[in-house]
Amino acid sequence: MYKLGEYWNMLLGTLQSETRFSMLLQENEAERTERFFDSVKNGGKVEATDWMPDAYRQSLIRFIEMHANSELMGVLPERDWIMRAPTIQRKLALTAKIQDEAGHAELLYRLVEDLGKPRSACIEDLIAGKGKFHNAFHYRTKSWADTGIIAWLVDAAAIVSQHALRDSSYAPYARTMQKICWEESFHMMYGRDAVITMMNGTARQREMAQEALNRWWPVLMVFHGPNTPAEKDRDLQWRIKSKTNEELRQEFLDTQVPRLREIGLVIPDPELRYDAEKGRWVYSEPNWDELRAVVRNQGPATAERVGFRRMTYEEGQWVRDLMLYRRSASRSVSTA
Amino acid sequence: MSEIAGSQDGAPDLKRPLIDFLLALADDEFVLGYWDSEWTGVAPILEEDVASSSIAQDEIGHARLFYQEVATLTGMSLDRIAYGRKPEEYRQVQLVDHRRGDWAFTIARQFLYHIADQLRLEHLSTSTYLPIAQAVAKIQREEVYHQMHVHAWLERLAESTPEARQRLEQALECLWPDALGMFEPFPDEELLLRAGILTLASASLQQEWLAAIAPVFERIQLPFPVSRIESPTGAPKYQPMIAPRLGGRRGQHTPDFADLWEEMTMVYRVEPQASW
Amino acid sequence: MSNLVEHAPGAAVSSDADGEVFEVFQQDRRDSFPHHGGNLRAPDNELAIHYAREFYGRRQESQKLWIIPRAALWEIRDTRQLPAILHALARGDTTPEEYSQTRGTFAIFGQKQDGKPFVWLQDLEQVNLLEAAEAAVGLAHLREEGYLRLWLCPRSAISELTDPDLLQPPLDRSYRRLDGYNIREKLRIARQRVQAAGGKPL
Repeated sequence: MYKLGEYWNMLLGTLQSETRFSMLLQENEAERTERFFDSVKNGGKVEATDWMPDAYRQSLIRFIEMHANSELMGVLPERDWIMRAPTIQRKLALTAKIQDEAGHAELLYRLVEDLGKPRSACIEDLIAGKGKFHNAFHYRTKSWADTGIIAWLVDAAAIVSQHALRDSSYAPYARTMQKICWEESFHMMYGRDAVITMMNGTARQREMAQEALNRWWPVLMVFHGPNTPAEKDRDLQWRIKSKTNEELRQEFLDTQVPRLREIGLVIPDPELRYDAEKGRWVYSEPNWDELRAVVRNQGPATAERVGFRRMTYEEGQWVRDLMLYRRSASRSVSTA
Repeated sequence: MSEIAGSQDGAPDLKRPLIDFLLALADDEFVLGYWDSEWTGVAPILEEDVASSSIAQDEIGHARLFYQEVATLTGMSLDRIAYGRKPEEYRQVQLVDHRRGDWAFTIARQFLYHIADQLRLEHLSTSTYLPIAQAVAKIQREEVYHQMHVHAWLERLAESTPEARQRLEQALECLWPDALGMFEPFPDEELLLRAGILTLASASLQQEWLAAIAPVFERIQLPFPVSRIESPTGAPKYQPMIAPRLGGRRGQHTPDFADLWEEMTMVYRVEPQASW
Repeated sequence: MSNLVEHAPGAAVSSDADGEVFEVFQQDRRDSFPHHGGNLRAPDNELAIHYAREFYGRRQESQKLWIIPRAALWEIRDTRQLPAILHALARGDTTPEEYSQTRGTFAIFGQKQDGKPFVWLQDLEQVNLLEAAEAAVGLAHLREEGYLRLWLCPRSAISELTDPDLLQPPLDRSYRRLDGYNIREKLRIARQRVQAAGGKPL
């Protein structure tokens, strides 16, 4: 019978065999890379076990790692409110939402591992302040209304990006995104339900909701990133993602602005309007300086969030240690 | 003993004890579920984060089932029952009052609690109060996974690294008095027993619980502060050597619960009449 | 037809510290057979089953789960290429020699279309790995649609979870489902309120 065997250091193994292979195929490397990009640009799919150019692999790792980090850090703004939810239904729903986010982080880190970077390395980079994560999660939450606004609008913004990723050239990522999109479908609905309920409630509840929107709107406007032209967006070239940042933002505004207005919320941007002639939404220029600071991990709550992640990760090290120990023990028993 | 179908048939002098009993069952799961849910997003292992959050959500779902019955009996809303009481009106055992602690503490408490709960549910499945019997039938099915998972972790903690074992032993040492407090008699327990709403006295349940955990403690070689008195005619009797910490069933709780109450009712109390 | 077996750069396997990778197949009420859902990491088989239930069943989306250590899986990357090349999905584990000595039931999975998940095709009994691979490739060519890639594993490597207590627990979980929310009436009330205020909010 087969045995559950030894595992090799992944990086070393992959490098060794890739070196072996590239030595064999050296003269065809450039050709092979070109063929790869042609295929990908024409909708071809790549699986984890396929050959891929190193530049593509590294881009994927960077892109997916940031996505995974964002899910893991996205947990933190909302987590406090699990313990403060005012009804049982809200408590359960918010807990389930955050559980999903942790689960999605796990799915995404798994993809990164299969591409070559261990999860422990990703998390170590994250808690050292080096790992990047999405802008929305560098900000504080102040009230219960924040959780509704985040669940509705941050998730709506993310869904727009994520839908575009379901067609990624990297098939494991595309399939994972399909699963993630399906699981997240209730998140946005939960948020919208919570906010509408508040808007239908007392004056105090309505004020709370409006105030939360005022704080989060600027964050949402930079969510999809700067208006990078398609030709300069490498991730777009390789079809890791399939739409430009501005296309995603416009899609977000198309759907959500009417929904916000119909329940009586005021969008805190007097310039925001749909320009029928241009066929798109126009808005005040967002604060790109702030986004740049956030991208450098210098956002308003970045240090505190990263610090908290580091603390909980270190506190749990003894548990991860015992998993390794236990497995070695059971394996030596089975081979005896 | 005729089966009591629902709220209409309950004799007036049983109503208050029944409500308090349901609240006790619900509050146990509710408070435990709250502390367990706090691991969501920060559990030591991502896979475990998801698994333990499901268990926490289940616990709150079980509480909700009992709160719904209280809502039917009192006409009060579900959320008012769950969030609208003062701390001394909650009836959970002090075992679940403790904040979640480290991973070993969470697992140790879950283990002690879920074994007792499993036995309690078995006996409640024949309660003359049908809504309880029906609720219990559903809850028992969900407890299958909880038991599996807690046992898997208890073994891992006990048999892997010295540090894990030490943390487990420390947690158990801290929890023993409260664990014994799980069997504090319910208010008006005699009335509930006579009506068949409760089918086994708390003291007897304690014996069953001790008999169930004794072999586990023995196998894993964990300290067991209980002496075993053999009986020539029947089952052995277990005599704990430490005093139980009582009071939970009568609304006496710990500072940890006071903190939890503050937090969990914080938003509710902003506008208690409002819909959220 | 001889099958050349080799270790090529493939799905990366992490180091000891992070545990073992398990591939998970799931089947829901409408499926006729299991399809690949994804993979997860666990220290051993017991927790792999628990985690599979969480990641591929916590929404009661599965009636059946198959949990397979990646170490037990072999892949044929391109069925059009003959002789077919067998790759171990997890490197450095079971050797082809070991597998060719063992005779038993093998499960065959196929990927029909670029990017689609693998689906279970059939079991082959009383074969060793090499025979199973040959038969699988033959199968892939016979079926009209064809199968681009194939996976094989010993049937004994598959842990199956069908327990309804775990996969279909009875209590209300509508709070985590889209169909648990109905905002229509609330929206109507909100719109009415906004209109009554003369289109001006608050």
